[in-house]
Amino acid sequence: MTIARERAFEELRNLVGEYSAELGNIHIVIDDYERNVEKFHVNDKIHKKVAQLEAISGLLLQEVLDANQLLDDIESSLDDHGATKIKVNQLIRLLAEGPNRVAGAEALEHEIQKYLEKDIKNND
Amino acid sequence: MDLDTRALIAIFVGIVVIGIWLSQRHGKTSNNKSSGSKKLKSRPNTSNNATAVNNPTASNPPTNTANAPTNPNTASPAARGRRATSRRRTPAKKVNSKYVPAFGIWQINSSAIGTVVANAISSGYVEFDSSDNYGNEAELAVALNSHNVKRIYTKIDPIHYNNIIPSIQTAQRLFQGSGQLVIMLHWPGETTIQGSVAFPGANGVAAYRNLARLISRPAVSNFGVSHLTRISRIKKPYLNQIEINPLLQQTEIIRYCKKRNILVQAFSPLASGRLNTNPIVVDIASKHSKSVAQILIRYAYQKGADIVNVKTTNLSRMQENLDINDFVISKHDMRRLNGLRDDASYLLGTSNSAPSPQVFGPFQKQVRRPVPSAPPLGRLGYHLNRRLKRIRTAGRTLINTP
Ligand SMILES: NC(=O)c1ccc[n+]([C@@H]2O[C@H](COP(=O)([O-])OP(=O)(O)OC[C@H]3O[C@@H](n4cnc5c(N)ncnc54)[C@H](OP(=O)(O)O)[C@@H]3O)[C@@H](O)[C@H]2O)c1
Repeated sequence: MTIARERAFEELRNLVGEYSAELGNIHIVIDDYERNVEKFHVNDKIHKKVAQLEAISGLLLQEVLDANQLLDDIESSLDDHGATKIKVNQLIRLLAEGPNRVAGAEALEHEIQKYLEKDIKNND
Repeated sequence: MDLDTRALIAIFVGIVVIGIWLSQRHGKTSNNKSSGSKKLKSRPNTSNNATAVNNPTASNPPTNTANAPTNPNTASPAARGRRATSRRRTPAKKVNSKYVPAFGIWQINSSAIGTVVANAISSGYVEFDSSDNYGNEAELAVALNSHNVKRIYTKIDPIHYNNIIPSIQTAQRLFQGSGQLVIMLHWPGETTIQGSVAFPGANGVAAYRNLARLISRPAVSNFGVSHLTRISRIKKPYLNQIEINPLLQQTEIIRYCKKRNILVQAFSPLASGRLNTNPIVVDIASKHSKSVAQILIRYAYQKGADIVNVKTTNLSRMQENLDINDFVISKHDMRRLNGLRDDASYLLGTSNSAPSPQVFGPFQKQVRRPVPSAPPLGRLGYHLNRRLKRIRTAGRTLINTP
């Protein structure tokens, strides 16, 4: 295997690492809401929204897991062009879902924020 | 009708009435019984629902376990449920009815691990305690390769969210087939140590959340009561590994764990040799014709530890540290040992401080990593899209480079 291919693979691994780190931000959001949910005894609607957010982050986590598995497969098939091509395409298809999910998560986040703000005002 | 016939009819009617009365009575009782059993049966459903609400991911577990299919830590939700129930029924104490300490490998030179582990196994150790940052874990895995031990405990650092996944996968790969694997978070993440922030950016809660999703027995180490309370909202941890010795007794954490059936694993039971010449420990040791080390290991068990880690590279000490089942430290002597308490964590070289809340302060509030302003799609979505473009480019380069 050539050095250029090895480098390209390293770049791919780094990028997937960064990608999954960004997904980590969703967890911080959930954490934030968990604290608030406890503090203000907010209504069921928020519980549901947070549950949906949790579910999305679960899917994202699964995608990151699968992406790591695919990276391992790519690494072991680097000498086989055909196999590498198939796995790389699988990886890209898999990650293509990510931005949509994250956009969904952000919409939820926005809604939860609105509820929370209302609730905080009512509790004041 | 003559008298006899009338008497017969009366008896017959009497029997029928009694029969109806009895059958009604029986019906009532069985109805009561069945409604009672219905209630009992409905309880788990209610609690299941509660779990689903409190922990929505419980109803949505990752479906693909291809990354670690053979690891006993990964399990179907049903199997997890079964395990959880059996765990609840099994009192923690029964895990070690005959105490066999776990063999710790911290500070053992990686080149010596092969021999040390072989000696430990031949001495009778069946559990091993390791960590991804001891610098000798790969060697332990090799040494355990040809043996199937009972359990391996390993720790991963909660450095950052995305490190958790590869760390878990590495541990699972390393110890695949060597025994049951218990993976724990090494410490609670970003924290304060004596007032100043340590391990900045390490998000213990997020790391635990991932651990709890990925394995059926998520465990932790160096977690205090405040940390345990926080993460139990995600999922009750299977085990908490903490320093326990007469100098640092951790009574509060042990009590908390016992109450909730969280296994307690002790480390540094020998307090780094600081009690080797202590007159009280020496006196108790001579009373039982035991060594100071044996008394201290036994102390950790009697204090409430379910598993005690001990490390030695010396073969005769390995055997000595196992020989702790033929005596009991009396209540009086336990009190004397308890009197040695100074709340000094030898591990962190601090005095008047114990892991949580003084040493490992409460979880720090995590701050979102700042991302520059982006179009309405959303900050994260926008950035992920850009990242995806770069991944596509890197992928294409990989495919097209000869
Ligand atoms: N979770 C955590 O943060 C954490 C922290 C610390 C440790 N641990 C784990 O717990 C394990 C045990 O803790 P530890 O290594 O700190 O302390 P330990 O087992 O209490 O003490 C080890 C020291 O005691 C000596 N020793 C062992 N048996 C002896 C005996 N019978 N007589 C006299 N001296 C004896 C050893 O020396 P020789 O080797 O020369 O015999 C070694 O210097 C570690 O290996 C590690 O796996 C976990």
